[in-house]
Amino acid sequence: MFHLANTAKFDMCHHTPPYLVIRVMQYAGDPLPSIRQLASQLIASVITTKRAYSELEAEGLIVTRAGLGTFVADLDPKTIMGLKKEVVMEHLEEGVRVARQLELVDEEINRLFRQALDGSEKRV
Amino acid sequence: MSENVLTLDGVCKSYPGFDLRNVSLALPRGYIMGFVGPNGAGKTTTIRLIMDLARPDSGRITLLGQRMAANEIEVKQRIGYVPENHEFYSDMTVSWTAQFVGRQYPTWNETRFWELLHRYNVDPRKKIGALSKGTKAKLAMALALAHRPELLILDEPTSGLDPVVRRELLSDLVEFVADGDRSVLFSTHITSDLERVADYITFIVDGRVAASDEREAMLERARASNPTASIEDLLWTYAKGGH
Repeated sequence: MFHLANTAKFDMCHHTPPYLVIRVMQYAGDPLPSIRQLASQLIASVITTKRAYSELEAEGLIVTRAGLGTFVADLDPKTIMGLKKEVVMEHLEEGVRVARQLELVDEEINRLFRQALDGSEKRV
Repeated sequence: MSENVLTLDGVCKSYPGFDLRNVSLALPRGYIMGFVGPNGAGKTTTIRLIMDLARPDSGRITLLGQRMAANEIEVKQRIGYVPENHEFYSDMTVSWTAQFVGRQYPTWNETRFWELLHRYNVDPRKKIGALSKGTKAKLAMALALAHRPELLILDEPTSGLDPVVRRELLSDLVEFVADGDRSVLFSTHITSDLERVADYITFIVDGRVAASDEREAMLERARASNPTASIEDLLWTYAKGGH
């Protein structure tokens, strides 16, 4: 499942929308909703959604077949892992940026990261 | 492909102490345009001119491919207009109001209206005067949507609404344009409304259009110099006279 709750913060223009990436990862080969359907589901603008699709298509994550619609591309596990890391890294970098702005030393940032890891529910 | 459902071309209107100067914009079919500006910038004046509730001193307004004056009733029947202050009879009930409004539109869809009312949780037996501001706004939306207009014009639809109702309303707007045939122009001074749903944005400041374009294109340009630029930043820049 992708998380609709997070979509408010998505800036589809600047970051590949994580919900779409996650969807791409989990449902390879599946049909995607039309641009307008998706915009409606996400409460996002049509043009923004269109751009997100173009970006994903340019990156080879989705494919459009004329007359049939848009589908999740069939990706190999290595590419999928790379995407996951990319999404996570974006968030981590944001955290580091804030920490540096607040003048925390690397040691302190490291400790906070461990704390966050330990504090969050473990998944298998 | 992108036929415009609404165009304003050099529209001017002078009132004592306020000038609307050279307002131009174009809204393509199938999209949402946010009309944003500080209070008193001329948003309501422009919308009143579009709805032919006032006449421009000069300039041209085209609605659904025609001049309003040429075919007023037909054009108005294809438009859903929600003014900032809903002018309903406060002593009458919701269902009476619906009948009254429905009679004016040949495309009125009774079933659709009751669906919307139900979804918005509005009690049809209540008198208008007993409704909260949010509920009145929802009723106004239901009335405007129930005749399936091609163009929805909303003046500050979200002002004074709580965040939940606001989100619901924005969601309905996106759903409304989802079939690609219908368009929305809505004015607001709340820039966060636009961050989500607006395809196009027209900034109006001090009676003039400061910018009018695809939202993403404007943000992209602004981000060349400020990577975190938002609609609010843009409005601030325009309001302070920078470009």
